[in-house]
Amino acid sequence: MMTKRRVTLTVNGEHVEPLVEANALLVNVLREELQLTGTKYCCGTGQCGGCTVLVNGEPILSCLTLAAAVDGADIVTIEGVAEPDGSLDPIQEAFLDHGAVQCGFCTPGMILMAKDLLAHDPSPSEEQIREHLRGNLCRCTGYHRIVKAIGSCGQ
Amino acid sequence: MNDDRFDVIGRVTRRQDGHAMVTGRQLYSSDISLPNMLQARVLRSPYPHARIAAIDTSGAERLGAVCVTPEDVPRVKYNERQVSVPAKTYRDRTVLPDKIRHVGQGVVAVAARTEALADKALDALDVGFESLPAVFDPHEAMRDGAPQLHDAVMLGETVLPIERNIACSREAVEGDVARGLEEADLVVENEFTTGRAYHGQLESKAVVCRPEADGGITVWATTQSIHNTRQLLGILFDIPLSKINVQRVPIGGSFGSSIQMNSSVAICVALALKAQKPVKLVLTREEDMYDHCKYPSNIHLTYGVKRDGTLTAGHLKTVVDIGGHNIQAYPLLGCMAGWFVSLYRLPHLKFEGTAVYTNKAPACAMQGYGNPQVTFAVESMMDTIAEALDIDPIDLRLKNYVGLGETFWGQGPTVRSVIRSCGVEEMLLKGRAMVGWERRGSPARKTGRFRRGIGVGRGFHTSGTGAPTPGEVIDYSTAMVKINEDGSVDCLTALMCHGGGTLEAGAKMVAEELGVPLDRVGISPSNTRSTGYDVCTHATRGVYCGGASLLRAAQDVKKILLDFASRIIDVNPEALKVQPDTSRGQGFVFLPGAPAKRISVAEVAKTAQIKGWGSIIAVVSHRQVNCPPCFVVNFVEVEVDTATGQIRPVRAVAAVDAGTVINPDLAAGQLEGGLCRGIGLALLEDTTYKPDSGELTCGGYLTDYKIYTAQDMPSLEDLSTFFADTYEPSGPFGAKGVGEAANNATAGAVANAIYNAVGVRLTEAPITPERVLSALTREAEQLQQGR
Amino acid sequence: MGNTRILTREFEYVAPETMPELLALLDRHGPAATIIAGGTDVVPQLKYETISPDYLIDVTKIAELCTVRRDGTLHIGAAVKLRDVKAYCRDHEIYACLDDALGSIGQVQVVNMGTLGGNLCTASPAADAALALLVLEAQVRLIGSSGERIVALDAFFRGPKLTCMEPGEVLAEIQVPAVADHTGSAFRKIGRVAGDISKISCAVAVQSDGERCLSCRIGMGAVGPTPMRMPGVEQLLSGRAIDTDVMDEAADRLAADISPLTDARSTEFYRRRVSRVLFKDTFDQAWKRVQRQP
Repeated sequence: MMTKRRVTLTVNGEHVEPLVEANALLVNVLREELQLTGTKYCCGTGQCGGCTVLVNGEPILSCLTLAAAVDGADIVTIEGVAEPDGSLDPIQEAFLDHGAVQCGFCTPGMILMAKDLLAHDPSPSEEQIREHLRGNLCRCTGYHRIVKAIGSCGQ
Repeated sequence: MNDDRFDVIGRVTRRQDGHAMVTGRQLYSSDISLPNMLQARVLRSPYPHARIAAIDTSGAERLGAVCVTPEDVPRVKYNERQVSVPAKTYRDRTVLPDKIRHVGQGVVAVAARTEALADKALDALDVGFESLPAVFDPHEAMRDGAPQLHDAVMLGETVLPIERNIACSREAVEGDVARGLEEADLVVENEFTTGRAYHGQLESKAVVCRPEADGGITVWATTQSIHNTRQLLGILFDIPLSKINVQRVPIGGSFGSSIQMNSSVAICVALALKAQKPVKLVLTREEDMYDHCKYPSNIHLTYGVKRDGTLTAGHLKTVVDIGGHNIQAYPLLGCMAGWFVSLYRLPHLKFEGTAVYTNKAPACAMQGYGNPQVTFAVESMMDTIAEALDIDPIDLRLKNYVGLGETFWGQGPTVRSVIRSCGVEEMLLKGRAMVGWERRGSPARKTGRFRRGIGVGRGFHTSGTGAPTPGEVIDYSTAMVKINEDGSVDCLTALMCHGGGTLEAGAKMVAEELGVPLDRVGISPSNTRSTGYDVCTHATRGVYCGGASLLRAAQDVKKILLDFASRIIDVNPEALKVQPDTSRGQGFVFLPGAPAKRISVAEVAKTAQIKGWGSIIAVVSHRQVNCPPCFVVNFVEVEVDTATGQIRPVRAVAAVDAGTVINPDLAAGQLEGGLCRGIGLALLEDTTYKPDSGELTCGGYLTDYKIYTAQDMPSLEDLSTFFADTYEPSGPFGAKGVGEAANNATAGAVANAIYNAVGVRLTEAPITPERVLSALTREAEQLQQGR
Repeated sequence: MGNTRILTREFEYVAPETMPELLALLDRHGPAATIIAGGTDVVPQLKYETISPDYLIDVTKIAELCTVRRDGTLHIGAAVKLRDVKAYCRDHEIYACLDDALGSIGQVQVVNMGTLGGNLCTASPAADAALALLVLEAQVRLIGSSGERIVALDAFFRGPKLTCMEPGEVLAEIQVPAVADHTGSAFRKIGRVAGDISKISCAVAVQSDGERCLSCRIGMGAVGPTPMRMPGVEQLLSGRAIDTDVMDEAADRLAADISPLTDARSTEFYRRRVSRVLFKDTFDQAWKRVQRQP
């Protein structure tokens, strides 16, 4: 058995100290230890973006990240995007208003990528949105309404 | 976009389940976690064809794992799909196999406290395989002496010997094709293939099973049919259905991949029953890719046509490589005949279909069920004919398409009905203007490295599989509607939503019928113990069939509502109307022109409760006796880089004739998504196999199985969708389906656009840059030799 | 079949904070240790079970591996994130081909996670940044407990997933020499979808006086066992006035000099055919960039 280590994380503003094994992947720690199942396993090889979370403000792939390697990090998952009182982020509102959600499985990753894009550029062009999302696969929508929803959030 | 005839139907509204999806709170099967739950893993065959010589599980058991082997599971032969009537259901598999028929087939399953431990247990298993010669090509598989995958299978209760690996075949004939071809001025003939695309649903197949204290089980699974899953589990494990509860769980995309009760469900149940603990089995992506794919096709197509463009005969021969197991090849071939026959009028026709076993992942339904494959061939041929006869491709289609008032085969020879709504002409003409058809030009006059071309494709899908007579396929839905004591409404159905908004559409229909604001109509969580039978949410039947059952239940409930209201406000129920008052968040029953004669739905329901009149509730089982075609038209513009063979879809117009559109945003989203997947089928997607090992070339990883990204699709401005203005008399509020229709015409439109750009007919999909460049090179060489 | 959901391999994870600690760990554990930085390549390899380390040594906490500085030569620490290299290139057009290459990586997430050292140590014939660095004539500084050495990048790659690094050595820094005046560079690739791994890629750096190619460096990716320089083509073009005939001649030579294979991503025929076009397009872009310079 591998020794377990305690890692200190801030997840969606909450201080947590899960006990993890050296080979534990962040996606599984979030989903299983912390019951934050909004972060998805889809491809496992870094091709689809379904496991995207923000680590210290930057989107990364939690299925390729060792939990031990992000000790001390500030993490935001889809569960941390809405306000604590439950009111939705404008991006979440836009996804609902534009029919950008079908099965919903890619939605967490897409919304976090949109958060990241809009944080760096409040009024991205359509090309920039598409380029930013190209690592996040959606099998249902053909992306049209996702791009539209994010574009509508631009200032 | 709003429809003035209705209060909520046709209006853009936020979907009820959307809030959970944008906040990460939607729980899918793969998110379910239960106390004391074990994690399962499955040992999978590295061989494409092998006998299982010996299995030793003692090492795994020493680690504390629970193991099930082929010896431990029921020997019942089954078919994962339960939509056909039993007599037409081919059964060729068991929970764990007697013999390996493709790489990745599960052999032994283990469950342990953690996935890591389960993986260790897998390593500790000792399984001996005796490798057998394998066959990967369907034509080779039909030769004498080819390795034989199955000696016999069950058809209904009959033992059916299998010869030359032919799983089943089907023929349909009307008239005399030879005569029809003789009458023709022009005979065209070509061969087309489409690939074994992978569904690529983002949630890999998942299942959780909890054994219950009463000997029963509760199951959460990725499936499009909770009732068929339950029935099959009842047969396999000999448990009364009253003790099997399959929960409806949101699914992370399906596209047909979970039409059946997935084989992993039965494996998980076997483990849970043995362990007497909850067990969870979620396929990894690579396991999922070894589990299923689209039916590929190899189509030989011949048409006879008069000089004026009238078709005289059509003959389609197809060989379908179904992989190691037969999931639904027999109805597939019937449908392929139906798709072929119902696209264009054919005085003389013949369809011959053969489904062949090979040592590859089993193929199953994937959006369109043989339709995109057939339509790719047929629509390519329409353009070939149009060019040969110098007729505009749109005019040729208008001349020959099967439309209003004509008999329609839809789902195959046994499912016939008459078309009562049709927007084909409207869509072709409007789309032609929108795409700028006049810019099309002739490929002969196009020069330069980058060449653009515009292509059209049309097609249809059926809305469900209903028919006036009971056929080979079961089709009905059950729904319950009840008005609660505060005037809100619960809808209970086993219908699934795969993302397209089926349940949302059902809620809108109920709200419309009862005059209750949409946000007060809830779709209840459901399971097999609380709902009546629903065949499956497949075949583009959700709105047309499932919605119709909800509407019928709402109509019955409305009768009770008006009856109770009439007692309170003393008006004949026949004279009462309903209407929502959104400002008060209530529905109202009222007598038009008499302001005093008005009462809220809540007051009626509450009064009925207080006075003991009973609940306002109804349950209905409903079968649609038609499966009307939802027609579709795609126009696609591509840019071909003749130096690299790369093809970029730069512009598209997609239209559907869905009758009354219930959810405009979500229906348009279906068209956009269908287009994207259709372009993928045309240009990009296929699962290929290594000829020596029978392994997937991509290894099962998305690293080398690509699907299109946001950056590959046409811009917002360059992609338009619209709906035909039609009303289907047999549909709920005039509605038909959208679903599968959305991608049926795309591959044909893309192939035609490529031809229009470069003047070379590519018949092998996916039309990869490698294939384009080879074809362009061949063409150039032939030209040179010609000189 | 591996498992892409969890890591089944058990190992110890160590994250040294200084070079001496790192070197000591490498010496102690020898081949049982694998270095990890961003994880975008090492973690998939663990999942595919193509590597099986007992120790995973994370080098991203070592400050000196995470800095960028320039003294004529650009020194990029091996554990600098691709994101930071990209930001630097955006501000310095002389590294245009590296900017192109980093911009062609599929996912923002991978650019945020991956490191330049990782991209090189992976030694994939299709590595994008590696090809750009090759035509910028980059060198790598390798450090082991017995000392350090500087190796030119084209000598660094030895084959698919194979470098010249000795056991116990670590890639510390990538050095990009000053780019000569009137030099333009570009990188292009062809993939199956946007941001895909290259089916074939090309990088060009060319110094020009406006008409003639004074000197050039040409690299091709995914057409041989390593990212390859094309010395034959470089010599052919040096000193020549650039016109379509010369470019055709160069493209013919290039197509003859590469050794592509058929694999899951493309065919030998396709790669050889398209290498000519891709090379010309990339050269053309680099050439235009020189002309744009003051």
